[in-house]
Amino acid sequence: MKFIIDRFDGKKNYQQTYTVEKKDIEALTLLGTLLFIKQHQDLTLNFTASCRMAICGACGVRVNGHAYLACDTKMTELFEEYKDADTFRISPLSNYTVISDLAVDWEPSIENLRKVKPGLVAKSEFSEKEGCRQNQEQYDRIVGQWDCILCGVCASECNKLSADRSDYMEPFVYTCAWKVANDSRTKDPMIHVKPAVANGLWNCVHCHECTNRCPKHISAAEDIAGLRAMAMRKGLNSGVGPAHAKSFYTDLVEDSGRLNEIRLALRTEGVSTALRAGTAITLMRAGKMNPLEIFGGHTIEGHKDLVKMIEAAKAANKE
Amino acid sequence: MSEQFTRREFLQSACITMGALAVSTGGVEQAFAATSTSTPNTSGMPTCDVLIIGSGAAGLRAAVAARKKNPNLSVVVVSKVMPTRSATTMAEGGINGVIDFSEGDSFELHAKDTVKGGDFLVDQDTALKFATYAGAAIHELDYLGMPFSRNAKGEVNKRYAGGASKIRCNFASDKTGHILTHTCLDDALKNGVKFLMDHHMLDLSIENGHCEGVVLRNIRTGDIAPVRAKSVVLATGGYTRVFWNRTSTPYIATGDGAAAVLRAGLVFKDPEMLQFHPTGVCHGGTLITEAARGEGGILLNNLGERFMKRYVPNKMELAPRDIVARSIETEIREGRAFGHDMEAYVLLDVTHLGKEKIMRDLPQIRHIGMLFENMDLVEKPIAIRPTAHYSMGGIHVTSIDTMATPAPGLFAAGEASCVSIHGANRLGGNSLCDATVTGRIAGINAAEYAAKADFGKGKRLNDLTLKWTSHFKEITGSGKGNVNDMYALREEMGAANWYNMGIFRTESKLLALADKHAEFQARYEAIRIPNANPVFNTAYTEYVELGNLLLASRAALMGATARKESRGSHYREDYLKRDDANFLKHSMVTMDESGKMHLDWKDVVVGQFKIEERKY
Amino acid sequence: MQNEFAFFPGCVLTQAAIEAKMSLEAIAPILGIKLKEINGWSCCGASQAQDVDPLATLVANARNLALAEKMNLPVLTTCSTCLLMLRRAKAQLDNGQKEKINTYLAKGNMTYKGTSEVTSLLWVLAQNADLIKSKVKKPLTGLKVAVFYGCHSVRPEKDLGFESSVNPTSFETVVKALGAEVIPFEKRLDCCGFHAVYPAEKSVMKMTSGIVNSAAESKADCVVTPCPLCQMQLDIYQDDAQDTTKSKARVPVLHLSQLVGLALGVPAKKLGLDYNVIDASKLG
Repeated sequence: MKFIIDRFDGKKNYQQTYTVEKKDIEALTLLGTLLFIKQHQDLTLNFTASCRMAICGACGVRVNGHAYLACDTKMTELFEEYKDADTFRISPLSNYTVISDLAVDWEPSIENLRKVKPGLVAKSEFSEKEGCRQNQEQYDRIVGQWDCILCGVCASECNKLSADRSDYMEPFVYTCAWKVANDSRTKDPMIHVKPAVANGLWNCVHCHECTNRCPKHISAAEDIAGLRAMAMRKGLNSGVGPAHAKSFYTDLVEDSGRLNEIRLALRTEGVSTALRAGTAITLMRAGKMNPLEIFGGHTIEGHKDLVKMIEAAKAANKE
Repeated sequence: MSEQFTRREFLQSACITMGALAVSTGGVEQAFAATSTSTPNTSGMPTCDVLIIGSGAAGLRAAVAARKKNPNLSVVVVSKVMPTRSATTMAEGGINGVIDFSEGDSFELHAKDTVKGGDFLVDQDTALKFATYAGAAIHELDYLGMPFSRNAKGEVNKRYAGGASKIRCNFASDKTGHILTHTCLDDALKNGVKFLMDHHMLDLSIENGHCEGVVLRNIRTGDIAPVRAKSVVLATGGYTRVFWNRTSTPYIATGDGAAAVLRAGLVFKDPEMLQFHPTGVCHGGTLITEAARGEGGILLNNLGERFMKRYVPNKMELAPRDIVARSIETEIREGRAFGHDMEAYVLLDVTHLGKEKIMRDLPQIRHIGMLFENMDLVEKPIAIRPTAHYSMGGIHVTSIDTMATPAPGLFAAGEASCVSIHGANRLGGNSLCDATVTGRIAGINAAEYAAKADFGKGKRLNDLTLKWTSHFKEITGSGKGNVNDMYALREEMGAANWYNMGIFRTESKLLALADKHAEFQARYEAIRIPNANPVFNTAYTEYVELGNLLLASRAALMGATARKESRGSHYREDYLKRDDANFLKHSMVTMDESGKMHLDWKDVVVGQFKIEERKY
Repeated sequence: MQNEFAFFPGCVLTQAAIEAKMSLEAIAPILGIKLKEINGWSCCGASQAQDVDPLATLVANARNLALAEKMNLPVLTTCSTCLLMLRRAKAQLDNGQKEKINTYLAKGNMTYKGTSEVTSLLWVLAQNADLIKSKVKKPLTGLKVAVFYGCHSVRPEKDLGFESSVNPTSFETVVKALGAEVIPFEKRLDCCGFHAVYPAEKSVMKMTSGIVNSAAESKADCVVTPCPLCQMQLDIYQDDAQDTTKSKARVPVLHLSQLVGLALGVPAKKLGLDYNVIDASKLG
């Protein structure tokens, strides 16, 4: 079978095809296959690997355009997923600067991690000498996010990062902010939430690639949603993102129970819907927008009950 | 290649690292401004006050400690990988440290267990201090933000570990090492630690007995440059990859620090002390954690019997690692195992624990079974055999108070160092606190030293840089070489070391190995790498690492041959008894300019713990 | 085949995606699918309300599911985000939240039991490709279709559970059953950016433009998508997006139900093709 690998020698990009016997690699992991190729056919093929047991995060690569942790992916899984294909395309993680072949530059990611101020600032009642108190439930709440091995697989697939990384960060950075902001020992979650908001928290497009690819089953998208909810609760709700989200909530709970699109546009961007003027006019011409909706749509049947239910939920979960 | 290396070429080759360091340190001049007696930097070489080699827990702890001790110093962590790819992440079981004195535990008892666990090769004053620092470290880590599994009182939860007389192995699920690594990384980022990643330390420069700096290869560009430093902390990890694939450790555990120290004429202590963990998977040597046995797993031979009853009936599978490993190897030798020779194995059975318990308390091992052995250990016993796991030996450090080597300015910490805390055998849970504690001490002292020291002149550093620059060209630029030469040699080295210097050692096997190594070294020097591209040349990195492993092997071989006794992990079938009269000493290996190795001895520091037979 | 469903339209079907509703209502009877709209259904939160108050939104969706359960029918939705929100709510309820949330539902005399599955039009069609084939009156022979799945019909795989998220085939199955040609389309699994068009406008326009251009390069006659939100993003904002990248290409974007309708012989007007912003009249 064939492995077509996207290579880079420091100057130019090119593809190289390696042919291997299926029987030589079918019992191996993807990392095992790369090592096989390097050690038997071409020692100039470069990639990074260390622990080979899915805990150090060194070996993220893409297969057929989707990111995987190579040591954690069995060849049999790939055969099944891609229906016994006899050719695979291997490339480096996307959204990273490639240094050589499948090895990428992690420096920008480390700098992004600094932005959310990792590292606990503990409550004043705790001390270096006595440590802290926390219970198992509080530990269980955050331990999933602590599984992050900084493999970069989520960042590789992130649609927002691909479109424009200047106002966004890798999904794992938001997970890092979440894990310390939601640690019961933390003095002030906002230390970590604020920089997340300031660095693109509301720009996530909800594509769920991060959730889907993470070898540790972490959902950075959920962590982003969690940080957004925390930010909203603490009054960090200025800006287009929060206004947009709030609009859905308002329609659901306070208004009709369903989305009112005219109001959505107004609430999100205020009267300067001039930005959307082109689109609004297009919509009206296409007959899709009923201007009368600005006065509110019909309330859904049973809305009063819905409100009662939500109120009960709020009361029972007062922080 | 001309002997004359002009200053201009120097600056050019150094410029990328210089740039990186300048960015990191805020400029070469600033580094000088911090010191009280400054000498003008005339060499043009990049400089750094405190340079830490290695980004595992020990390296990261050293960096933070140095930064906190003196924020005016430039502190850079150099790593041949991206930080967090280190062996620390692989540790699972827990981190020892006495924080609960209510059941009769004490620092003394922890020290005593450590001394006995190390088969009395442990320096006893060191052990006591180690235990004291380890106890304090647990609360410190909690306060820094490390999440721990908790007991009903909200305190850090702990479990039993092998060879411990009390329960003091504090843990975070079955991924304590991974969580510790990321706690240390977050703390490092919080404290403004700068990183120079993808940089490989090729050599160490000692001039007039003082450490003057290191030669670094920028793996990304291939540039080889000297870096002058006032203090250097070697936190480069272990050298268990001398057994190549018969080890649980990562591909990067190649003893770079130990080898550099040997080349610099300094001491590599107790190199023959390599720990063999009883339960590694057959395909690739990855570990199945001791906790599997701690939670009730049993070991079976081909007769279906729990063979540990022949060896340690009152501890069975929970006897210390070296004892269990030898028991398994004995079963293999005496024909009661499955398979043959290097492929032989016994079974670890956890099926009786039930799926729920395994999923809750041992999820990682199930994943490992599926990944490496294509089987589900919820349903079937898993094939295992001993695998090399830890290096008790390491860079000789004179005192745990400073973690300094005898060369002023040079420090070592973590698995790379040998104080000695672990002696001839390390207890489970003692390595994470080793890294945590010794890393911090090394960082504090490296910063204190740097605050008062001058930069060296850099002449020897210059020479070493030239040497390595030529080396790269010679090895990779010849246009010759087969892809498999280096890898075949590496596999052979691993097998030869395992067979002749593994769990059971004899004089004849060790002498045979010495001959083999002479051959290996000759072959090694003749190898040429058919990859002239300096950009991210991982084949050259592997070649350098292999050279370091060969050096470490020969040092270990020297120690193993000279130590005519059995102690801890070092087991001589021709000298079955422990011989305190002659060998209550550390083996101290050095290498001279011609490459010949020498062995000296240093008495173990004995204290309050009586030297007695090691029985469990 | 399960042919009766508790229909969850989702908010956009009545307004900005009116043509989706029209075409759905046209094809359902032909395929023998009975859609009974859930009485009193509320907005699913659209992943936006979840960012404000995840608990309130879970309660709202528990109520939506409970309403469907009362009808004794599985839920069918044509909006991928509604699909994902309802399925996730169901998973949360089934995995430990049920008791707690039911105490709140009780205030409105409702109970969530867990008896109603949630599926989508695309999945139902993919599971019944032979039925579709048998009903095709005007096979779409020669029509080059770029299938655009849209994120929430395939990701996260563990929440949707229908097919591989990196190598899905349901959409291809359906389109081929209609007689059309599925063309290789590099961006078929990419994100249209709809959910962030306000806060991340620049990026989303770039994403939208990239998708349209990729379809155009592949010589697609149209892009088809099962999700009305993707359709809105790629259709309503296509001119804006192409303007920002100064691209000339324009490709009509159809709802899945519109494409199906064409093959079933439903007149273009009835399928709401007039409402598509980028001119789709050539396809009718």
